[in-house]
Amino acid sequence: MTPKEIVIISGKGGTGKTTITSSFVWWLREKGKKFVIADADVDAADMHILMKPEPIKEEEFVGKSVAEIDDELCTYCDICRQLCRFDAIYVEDGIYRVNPFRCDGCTLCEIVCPVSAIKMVPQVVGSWFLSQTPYGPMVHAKLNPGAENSGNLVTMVKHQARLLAEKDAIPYIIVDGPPGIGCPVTSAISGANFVAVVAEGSFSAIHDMERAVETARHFGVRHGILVNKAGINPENESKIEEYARKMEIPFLGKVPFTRCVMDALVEEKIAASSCADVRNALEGIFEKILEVVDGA
Amino acid sequence: MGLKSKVIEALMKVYDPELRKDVISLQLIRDLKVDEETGHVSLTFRPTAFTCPIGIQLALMIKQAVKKVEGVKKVDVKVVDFAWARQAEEYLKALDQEN
Repeated sequence: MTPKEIVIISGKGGTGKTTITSSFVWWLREKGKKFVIADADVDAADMHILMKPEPIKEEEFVGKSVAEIDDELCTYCDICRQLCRFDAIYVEDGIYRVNPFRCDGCTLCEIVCPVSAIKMVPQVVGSWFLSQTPYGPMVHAKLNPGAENSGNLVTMVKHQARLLAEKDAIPYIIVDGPPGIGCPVTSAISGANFVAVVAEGSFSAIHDMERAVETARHFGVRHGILVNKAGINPENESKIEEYARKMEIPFLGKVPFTRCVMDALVEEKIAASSCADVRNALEGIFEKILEVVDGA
Repeated sequence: MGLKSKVIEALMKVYDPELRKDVISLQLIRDLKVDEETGHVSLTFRPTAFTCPIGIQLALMIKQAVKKVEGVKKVDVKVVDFAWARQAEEYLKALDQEN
């Protein structure tokens, strides 16, 4: 069985992706559906706050390598420092050192060093986890602060989620996507069966929603748009609907802006389980998503 | 050591440079069949992501690694769940024209 992958993205951060994704998870469980949860927002993971995962397996994630200079071999010829295009090599008390945050891992210094005093050392940039939650299995990850390669870590999260779903014949993978349209997002939507773009009635959200849609189109992934926090700016919200109509994108629906959602999140509860009007609005949205995904 | 073990050992040296793990431990190789007598090897390769930017290179590295194993006469690599599977298979066929 090939699991169906549904990814929730937004473009702009803070539109309510995790609120929607966790509600989707809650709703699917209420319907008796089986699924794997994947938190692909590795830079700022927060699904775990609502899902309460119990880790079963943890694995380090190795990112790019960083140069290290062996002072005992170094002859202070200065070639590496001069050639480094990232100004990552500096001299301190007469000793040549590498700034790991500036080093890009390009290996030029390792190549040009006449006495092989430099070697590239792989860096652990985070961890990924396979966990159990009250809703089902979850694959998630944590990137170290300031670490790069989040796109690769997202690929690993999704890959492990797919392997797990195939192994246990689980029909769906629900992916809480990252914001923006960079590498983590392209990794998150790669190969997805459906992408739900969460917008809200602000100018920046509309702008970034359009870019998220373009990204999904570029990768040939089916997508739809939903408006969260509806009621804040009805005029802008109707612009979103108009955009969807004009671009022939399925408009999935609107989720009302209510204080109840804030209260639920403060108590670490899932919005759909606590707020009836949100639940009712989301019901129709989730039915539409499953219709598209299952109909395919 | 049987031919199949040698093939697996060779594949464990083919690394996905993005996830920095080998293709065996990442479970990217499926349906590995090795005929110990004829030396014919067939396998299916599925990249970690549908739009994996290095899927074609990895497919070629997989085939070249298996071809180098002593006793292997023929290698068939099928690529699945990959945006550029058709292009990958054309390159793989071209590898057979070499030597």
